[in-house]
Amino acid sequence: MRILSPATCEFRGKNSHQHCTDKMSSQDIRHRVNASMLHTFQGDNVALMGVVKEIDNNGTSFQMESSDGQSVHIILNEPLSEDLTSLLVEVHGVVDNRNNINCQNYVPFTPEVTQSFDMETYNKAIKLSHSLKDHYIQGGPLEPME
Amino acid sequence: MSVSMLTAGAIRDIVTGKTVEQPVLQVLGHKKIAGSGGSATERFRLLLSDGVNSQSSAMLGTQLNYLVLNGELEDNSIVRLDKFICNTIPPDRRVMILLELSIIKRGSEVPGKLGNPVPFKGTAAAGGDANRNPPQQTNEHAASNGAPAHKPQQPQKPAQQNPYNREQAQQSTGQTNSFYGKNNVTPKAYGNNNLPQTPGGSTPKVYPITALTPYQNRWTIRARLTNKSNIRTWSNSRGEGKLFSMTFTDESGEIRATAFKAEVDKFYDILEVNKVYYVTKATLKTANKQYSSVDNDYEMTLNRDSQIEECTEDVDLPTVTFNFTPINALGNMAPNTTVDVIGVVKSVADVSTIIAKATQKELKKREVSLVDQNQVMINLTLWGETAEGFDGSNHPVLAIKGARLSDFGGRSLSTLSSSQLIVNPDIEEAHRLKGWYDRDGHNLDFQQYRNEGGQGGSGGATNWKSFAAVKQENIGATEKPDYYSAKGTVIFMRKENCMYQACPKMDCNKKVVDQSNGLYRCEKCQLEYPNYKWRMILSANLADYSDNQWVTCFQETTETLLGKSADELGSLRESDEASFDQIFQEATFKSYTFKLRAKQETYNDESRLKTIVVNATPIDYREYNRKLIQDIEKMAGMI
Repeated sequence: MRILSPATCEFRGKNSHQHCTDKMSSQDIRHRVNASMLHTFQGDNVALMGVVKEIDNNGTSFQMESSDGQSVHIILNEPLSEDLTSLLVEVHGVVDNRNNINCQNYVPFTPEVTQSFDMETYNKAIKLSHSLKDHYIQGGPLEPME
Repeated sequence: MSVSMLTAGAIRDIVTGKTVEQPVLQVLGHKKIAGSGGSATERFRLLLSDGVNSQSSAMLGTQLNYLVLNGELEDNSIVRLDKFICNTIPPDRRVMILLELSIIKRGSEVPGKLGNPVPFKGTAAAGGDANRNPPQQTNEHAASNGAPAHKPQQPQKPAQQNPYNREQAQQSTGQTNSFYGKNNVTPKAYGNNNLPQTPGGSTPKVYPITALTPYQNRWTIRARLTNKSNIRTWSNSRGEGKLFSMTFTDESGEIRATAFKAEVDKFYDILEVNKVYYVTKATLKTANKQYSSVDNDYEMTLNRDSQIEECTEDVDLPTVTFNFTPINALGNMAPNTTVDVIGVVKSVADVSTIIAKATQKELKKREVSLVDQNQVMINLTLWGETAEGFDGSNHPVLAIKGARLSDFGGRSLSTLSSSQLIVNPDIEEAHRLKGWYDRDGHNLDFQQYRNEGGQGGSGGATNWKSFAAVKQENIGATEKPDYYSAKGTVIFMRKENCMYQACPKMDCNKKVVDQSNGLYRCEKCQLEYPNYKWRMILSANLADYSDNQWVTCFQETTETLLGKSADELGSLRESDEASFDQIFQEATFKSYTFKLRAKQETYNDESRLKTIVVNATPIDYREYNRKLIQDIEKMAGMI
């Protein structure tokens, strides 16, 4: 699938002495998820794609509908300077213990792109990449694990 | 020589109506019967035995008379019946007619009668007496050949007696769904078949259609006209004329008949579809399967002597017999075959007019979509008058016999001139369909046949291969070229020799020779031109995750990959080389969905795989994703 966002899986090799755990809980990895998976990534970096539904009055948070049709609350560091309503957006941030995302960075997409984006296939891709973890290795140390 | 050579029980089985394949029997005796109708054709009646029973009512087909006449078929011979039919003469007589046989052992080599056969008593209607007397003459036909016009002497034949078993005709067509014949399972006895020995009388014999051969010229058939085409005219170098064709069907099978020129005038108006006729004296020849899907090795041409008379008796002959294929099974059948289909008309398009590319003639057509209970839909194209007159309102049931299955759009159907269309036929299958559609069908969604791989127009399932698989599987190694699709990236293109000067004439792409005098000569056209056109022929290397492949691209595909027309490239090459190079640079590392044709070719003892790009299209990611997900799930299921 052609990944629309520039947030591709970056290969970081510097922390070679780190233990490789299943979740790679260090700051190295940003997991691409949908709403149902948020609870397993609490405290971790995630990338969540969805359509912005409603922005609060202060512009400091908004509700987003993720690829699996669920509503996720996104909390921003500073207020929004643009109206993202009904646009496709990719949010990068850390999941808190209430399954909200503290957004560090977001990537908005144009209406043209929003129109033609196949959300269903995207969700399918996310699910497959998690269920077939071994085939979609994200980052990690250069040396083989012991 | 023992009785075990014979197929014991065959006589009993044949007489009681069972199908017996190629029984081996002994000919115990034969008797010559004078021909009827004042003709010289004699008939031979044989006494057959299977070692257990004997049967005296076996007639040798006249095409086999020579075997007796030249002494090959002697008494005591052991023969194998390769093709025979068994007719029933009411009330309970069975008569075999031998059409083809093989002599296993000559009579002179056999010591005598094998076993101790007794005449078989008991017939299909149990209790009959297998007498050896010539059967009573059932006089139906008027003196002249094939021209009866009065009611038969015998009363209406009840259905219970001696059901004429279609399977007796060894080569009978697999007939299902015969309709409009009142007794579907137990048709009346084929009673008007006179035995061929009627001394003194000139009554013609009615033969089953399946018994017709070019080697036997005295026959009459009684059959229903199940198909009549329109009159077609032709005009070619040898002259011109007109013709129409028809299909006759009786209990044994069907046969195609054609009338030309004078016969068209003679017969076209008097013949009506669904009426029963006696037909005699036509030329039999081997069927041209190209023009007809009728199931018979032979077909008839009406000639000057042909006679067709309407049969006014009340006979039950089957009319159109169908052998339906369910719509969802059509995907598994090879295209360009004829099929019978039945379905409910889900939607009808308007009549549209197209110009036939081949003849430049205008054709009217109409598309109809048909569905059945398996929830698959297929498109059917109607042509000409059938298209114009078709009323698809109210979702009628449509049955088609002899439609052509094509791989256009995945799978679709088209009517031929020989196809038969019945709207709302009175058969069980149609009633079932209508009931289903009214109840559930009209609400359902239907799966449609479509081209796989998302590329329009190519039809048929896409054959995806990785480049490594192509090499491993030896694609292209057979006599015919192999086609496959691949998602590939252009890695490299040969700039040198990517174009040549070609003949400027439309459709001629031959390389022209520069005469150095400002003229260019085309050897194919034998002409010289002051100009030429640039044609592309590009050698490129494509790669995917597994391997790479050198391919050749011609005009259209090269223009697609480079994004410039041949003429533009031609002039750039000479005027602005830097820009020319730039074009190639930018075209590299672009990905496409390729349709490729691969074939092993031999040049002076060396065999090399030549691959040509038939088509290069931008990747339809939606479609491609779907394929990937399918592949992943399939593979994941196996892990």
